[in-house]
Amino acid sequence: MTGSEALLRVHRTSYADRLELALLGELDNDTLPIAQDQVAAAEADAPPCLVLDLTQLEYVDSCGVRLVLLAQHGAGEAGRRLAVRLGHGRTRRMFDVLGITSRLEVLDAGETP
Amino acid sequence: MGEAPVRVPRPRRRAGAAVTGEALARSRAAGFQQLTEQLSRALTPADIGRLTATTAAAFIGADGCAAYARRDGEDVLEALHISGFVGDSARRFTRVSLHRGRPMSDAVLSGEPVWLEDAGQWHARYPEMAPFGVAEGHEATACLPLRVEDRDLGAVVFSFYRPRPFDHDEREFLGAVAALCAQALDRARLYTAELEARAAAERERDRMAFLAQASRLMEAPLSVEERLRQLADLAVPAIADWSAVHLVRGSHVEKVAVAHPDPAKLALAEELERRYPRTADQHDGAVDVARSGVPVVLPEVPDELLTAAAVDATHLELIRSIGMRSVIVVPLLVRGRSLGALTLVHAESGGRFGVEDLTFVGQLAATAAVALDNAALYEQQRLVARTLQSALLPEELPAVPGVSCAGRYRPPSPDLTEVYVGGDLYDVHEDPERGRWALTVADVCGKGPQAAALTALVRHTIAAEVRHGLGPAAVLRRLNAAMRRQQGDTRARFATVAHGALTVDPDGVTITLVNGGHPPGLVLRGDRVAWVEVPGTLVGVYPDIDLTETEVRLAPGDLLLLYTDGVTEARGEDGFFGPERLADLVASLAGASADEVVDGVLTAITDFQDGRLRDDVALLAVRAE
Repeated sequence: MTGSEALLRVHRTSYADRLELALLGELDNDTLPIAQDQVAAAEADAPPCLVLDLTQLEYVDSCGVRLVLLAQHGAGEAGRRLAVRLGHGRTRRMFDVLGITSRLEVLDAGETP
Repeated sequence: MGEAPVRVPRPRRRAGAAVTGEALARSRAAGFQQLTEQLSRALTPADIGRLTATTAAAFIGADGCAAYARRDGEDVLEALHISGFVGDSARRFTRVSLHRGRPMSDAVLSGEPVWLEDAGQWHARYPEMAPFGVAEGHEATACLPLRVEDRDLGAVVFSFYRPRPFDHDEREFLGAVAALCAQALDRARLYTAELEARAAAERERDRMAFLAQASRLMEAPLSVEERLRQLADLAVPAIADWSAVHLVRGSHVEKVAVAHPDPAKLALAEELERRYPRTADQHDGAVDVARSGVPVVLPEVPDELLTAAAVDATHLELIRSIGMRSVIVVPLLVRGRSLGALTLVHAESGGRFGVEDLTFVGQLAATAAVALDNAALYEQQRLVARTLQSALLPEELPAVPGVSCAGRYRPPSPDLTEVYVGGDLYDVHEDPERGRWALTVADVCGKGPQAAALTALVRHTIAAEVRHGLGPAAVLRRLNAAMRRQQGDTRARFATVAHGALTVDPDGVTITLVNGGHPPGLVLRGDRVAWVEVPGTLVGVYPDIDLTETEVRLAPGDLLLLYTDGVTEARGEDGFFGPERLADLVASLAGASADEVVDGVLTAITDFQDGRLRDDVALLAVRAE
């Protein structure tokens, strides 16, 4: 999809105890592969905990949920942790409606795993 | 050209009129200057040839002259200009094949002039050619090659009525004149080559522009046959006088378009076909090319061909009046298959097609062929989508006594209606044994064939489990297990499902609702709207899912609306459509029928997004009557 690179950016920050990927822009069917590539690259570094920060996304649909579910599955298989930052807006409501917030390690702003 | 005649200095000495060497040199210098000037103004090889055979010949004092050009690499000399020869010599020597043992050929092939000072030398050295060389009183002949560096440009022959001793000075003089002509000829050839190159470049540019125009036409939102008709129209008179398009249809080939700028000519062609319809055993160039996939070029259409094709005199007259002079027929090839043929004909314009036109006309045909192929693929995709879609959505909802139901599905974009297969579905089915009806609205994440396959699984699993008599929560648990079995442990896709069991009693309707991660339903009572928040986990990912059954009671006139997130997630200039706007909208539809409510919601979200949906949408409204 042309221009989809510009629609989604991923900022990566390494800490001693975790690796954080902050997603900015739009996460949908067109940009999901970019996010998946970044998550795969982060998983390859085998951090003790991978944190996906979805709070800065302008748009996210069920593809964002797929991204988190796939990352959770990957972390479970590898015996590592996955945490997410959902904020308190639309993204959080979407995860609530889907009934999966309680099945994820959800971090508040500034909170560390 | 208007050039002044060059004064001819006679090299012969006359008695009593002593011409000094200096005077001759002066006059020759002036003659050279004039000749140089005239040659410098001449542009084409023909002009140079004419000046060589007239002005230069007169300057030399020759009584006859023929100037020849040799095309690159060809063993033939072509006369540029011949003068001073009477009888049929001029005609006989218009084209001369190079042949050793003939004076001009020897001069060209050796690069050295051949000097024949009188008839005696002619007979001694070239006995075979002497009768021509000394015909009509000619005696001496000088054949000089026209060369510039290693470029072999042709030859010039000067002929004289009297014997002429070609002494050293004379040879130098004639050689210098020939060199001057050769240089002018060289320049003229370059000039002509440049003109031809420029004309070729312009023709190429026009053809590119035409191809671009044809490509745009092939993308026009018209039926493929209409596009081919317009392509035939576009071709005349831009690149041909007549054009036609034939298509292979099963075992026969059909003409779908024919064009000529003059309607009277078109009428003539129609009359020809009406009066003399083609029989099966008659050959037709376009039909043959469409079948074989092999192009045909006829640079000249010989009259014998027309005569052979005619069945009688009137037929021949009609065929001739079409005026076909040159024809090119190329197949419409795509992926190694011929779909038809494009025919172009030059008639009254006098143009001519050659094998060099095959590339351009082939490109044009390929543009049309790809458009045809795309149309066929689109049609195929449409058929697949329609077939799949019919497996995913009910043709019509069953009649539920005391209840009206309305369901709608819309793909993301209206122009995708025929080819899109999405992951949203709505359904109502009866469980006759228990006297209840099952309602479902579901959304499988993603799109494309894999999503469609999972959507079909959702629909058919629910239908089967309902018929087994399971309650709503049990149905979704069975569905969850089925989806996990289907896709393994990959968590590739999930679904959100709102599902309920509906029973009717004399005072209204009761719906036992479960919600597998689906957006909350809405109940409209009078003009008041209430959300039906039922917590639950999405389906297809986790081995255990949390589900709660909730009872919703509808009194007559009350309505339950279930929908997929394409409604609330619709995006417009004002942000997301969102649950608040949806609640306000549904409240404003108080008293409306189930059909009016689902149509009202669809219209509102379509308008909200300027007519374009981002996601597909499914809606189901149930109203107690």
